Amino acid sequence: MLLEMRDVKKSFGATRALDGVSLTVAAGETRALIGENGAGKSTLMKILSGAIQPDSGSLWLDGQPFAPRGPREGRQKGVAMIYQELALAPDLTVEANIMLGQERTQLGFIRRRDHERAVARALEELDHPEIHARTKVRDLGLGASQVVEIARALVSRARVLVLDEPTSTLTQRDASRLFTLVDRLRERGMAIVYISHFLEETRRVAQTYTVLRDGRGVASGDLAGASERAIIAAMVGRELSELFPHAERVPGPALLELAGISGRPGAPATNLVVRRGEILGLAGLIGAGRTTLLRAIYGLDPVVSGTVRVAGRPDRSGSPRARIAQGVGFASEDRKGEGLALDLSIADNMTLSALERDSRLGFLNLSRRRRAVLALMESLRIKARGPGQKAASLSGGNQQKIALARLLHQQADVFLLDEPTRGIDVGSKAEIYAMIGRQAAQGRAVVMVSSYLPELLGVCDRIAVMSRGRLSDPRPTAEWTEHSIMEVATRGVG
Amino acid sequence: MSKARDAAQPAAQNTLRGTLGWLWTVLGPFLGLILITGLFAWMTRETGSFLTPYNWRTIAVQTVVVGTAALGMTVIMIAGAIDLSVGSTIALVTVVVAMLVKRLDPALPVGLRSAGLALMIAMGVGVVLGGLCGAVNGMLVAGLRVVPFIVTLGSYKVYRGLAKWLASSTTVYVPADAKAWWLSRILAPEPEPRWLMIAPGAWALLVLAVGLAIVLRYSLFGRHVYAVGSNEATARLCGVNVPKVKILVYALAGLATGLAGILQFIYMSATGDPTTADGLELKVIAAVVIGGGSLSGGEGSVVGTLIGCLIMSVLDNGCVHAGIPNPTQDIIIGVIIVAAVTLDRIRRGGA
Repeated sequence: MLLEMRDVKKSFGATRALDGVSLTVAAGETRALIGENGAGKSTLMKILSGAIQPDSGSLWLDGQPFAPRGPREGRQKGVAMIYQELALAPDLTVEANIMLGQERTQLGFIRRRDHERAVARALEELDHPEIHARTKVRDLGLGASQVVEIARALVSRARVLVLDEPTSTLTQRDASRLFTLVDRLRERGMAIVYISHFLEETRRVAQTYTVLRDGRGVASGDLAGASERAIIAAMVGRELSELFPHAERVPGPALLELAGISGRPGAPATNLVVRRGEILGLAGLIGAGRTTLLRAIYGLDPVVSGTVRVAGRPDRSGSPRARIAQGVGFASEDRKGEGLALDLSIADNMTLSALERDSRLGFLNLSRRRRAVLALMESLRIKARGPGQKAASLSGGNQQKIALARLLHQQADVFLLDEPTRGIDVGSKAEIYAMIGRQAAQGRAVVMVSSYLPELLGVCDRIAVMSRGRLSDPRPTAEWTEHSIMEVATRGVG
Repeated sequence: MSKARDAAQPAAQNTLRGTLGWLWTVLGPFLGLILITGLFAWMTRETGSFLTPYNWRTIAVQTVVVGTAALGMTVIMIAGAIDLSVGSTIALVTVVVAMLVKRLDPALPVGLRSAGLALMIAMGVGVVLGGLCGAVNGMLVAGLRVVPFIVTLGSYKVYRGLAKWLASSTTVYVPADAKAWWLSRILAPEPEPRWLMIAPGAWALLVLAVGLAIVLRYSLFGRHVYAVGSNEATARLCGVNVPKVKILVYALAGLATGLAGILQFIYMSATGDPTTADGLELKVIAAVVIGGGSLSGGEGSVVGTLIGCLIMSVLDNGCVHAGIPNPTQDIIIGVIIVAAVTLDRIRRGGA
């Protein structure tokens, strides 16, 4: 085995991120590492890269014990990481980026010849000679940038290559070129760990797989003999039907009506009616315009044309403040960057959109607010020391619950939820689905954007698919399958 | 029943932790203050001039100008911004107040002149002028979307330039007969009546500090300031009118700076000096930072800032009493600023 990880454990505070994971990859093998967000994939890979150290367990590289104390040492010993967020300096050239940290020098001066030769050889080997060494990385597409990172790994004579969700931002064409490239590297004898959500894609590039869930390796083997169903069951840890408690709901009168809404000049207009007691799902690829639509409704992004009608009152574009007053609530997909102020307390985060509720004459009644927050924490089972704890110190699932509890606290009638369960553990997911269901049952209207199709199919009453800014007519969930949704999402709304 | 107990227990624990956390943030700078005080007391043990009631009354007076301006800076830094124009605003205010008194006083009837009406009016105008200077900063920051550092770097020059232009680059003296009897008492180290203990100006600073602390902790505006400083995107998402909060923050801080300008005017025994308070903003920022404020916003407290200001004054004063030459004093202060913030970082990292 070129790479072996044995019984690796790692805890962060009270959270056990890895609970005894073992993993092996042979030279000339690509192993898919599969698991939901929060399953422990990133932690495992950070340990492999040397960015963090395990609490216990051991790593072996080519039969030698391998315990990198930092990413630098990991790289030197031949482990290269390609993260989702590329680690390139955009203002430097391709050549400078590839040679960064592994410059060939003489008396402190760079040996340009050597650099040019090494870069040319690497790009040649990767079958991307069209990438010019003098181009600034800023001017490259995402696919080409990724090749630059891989070239860097090649120049450093990496033997183990880790690719973390490499296709999530790539076009289809760039993705298929990447697969060919990965195959080529594998045939050269590299050991490759390929992290991905997409099962079809892993079948294309990998031969073996390991599924992580809640910090444990729960399944592994040859991909050829594994059924999709079995892999998903291992990922989720229970039958999907248990995860989505589906209740019969009776839709009431229309609550949110969009007439000819367009967020950009020239963008297609959207018409949509969401009723009380209804959960409407918005499916589509990343960048299709679902987030833009939600943000425009909420007044975070401009509305160029059309009207938004909440409970019968027409209003073209409102500020978030006006929307909150109308009973609209919004949960951002970017939990850490926008959804929460991480340095503030749970209580501040939960009540920021409706501080007036617990105040008089512009001054807060802190004990009343505290009671309201405690009640919400209990009903959503938020695990924390108390309302005063900083949001930053909580797990992703608990943070997300706080972001959603804010909508409950402001007594929103319309819930605009952008990827409400992204990157959180399965238990929290189930609780959030239950909460969304309860709100709909109480007559609230929910619009939910999600890139995780089983979730949309499990939770929503109706689903509409967005493709290149154009929204399909919503149809009852029973009339959709994952396949038909993807077809509309990729081929366009006809 | 048991549910209520389960909920109450962690809540009580958290209250304790919260209190301890708060104590620690205040205690950290406070311990520093005690340490420095002890050090100077030991260094001056022969003369004994440092640890006297009179000297501490003097320190209180020496803290007033920086302290008042630092209250404003605390709000600005909690909101994640900065104000480099503080010193220039103070200079501008002293000049305008002095010029106003000079013009107004002769025009008033004798009875009102002896009461110092011209001074009162001019000082009122001075505070408002400070608020205006702040509001302009705030509007530029919110309207142009240029970072506060650059905007106030600009106004730092502009306000100083205005002060020099108005005063024709010289000191503006107020005629002796326009100085009312009460003026010099505001910052007198030995206050009258004696039961005041410290100068009325220092009392004013304390009252202001208590008011500001209440506003920051209990008012919606205060919460919005923390929210904007902690994460502006979240604040916008939650319906906070971010530009309005920024303008209000700068205007409010400007009022404090205006007041600091008036106190400086009094401290210089009623003169307007377009070159005064040069670099004061850095002293003010240092005081806020030593008191637990953060340049990235969302953090800072009134109590911490006041202690930070005291530390700065005690350093200045103590070095004089201990006979430490000025250059050494600069070096010591520089080291302490970096050390204080480093310690704060370590504490947070360990928590």
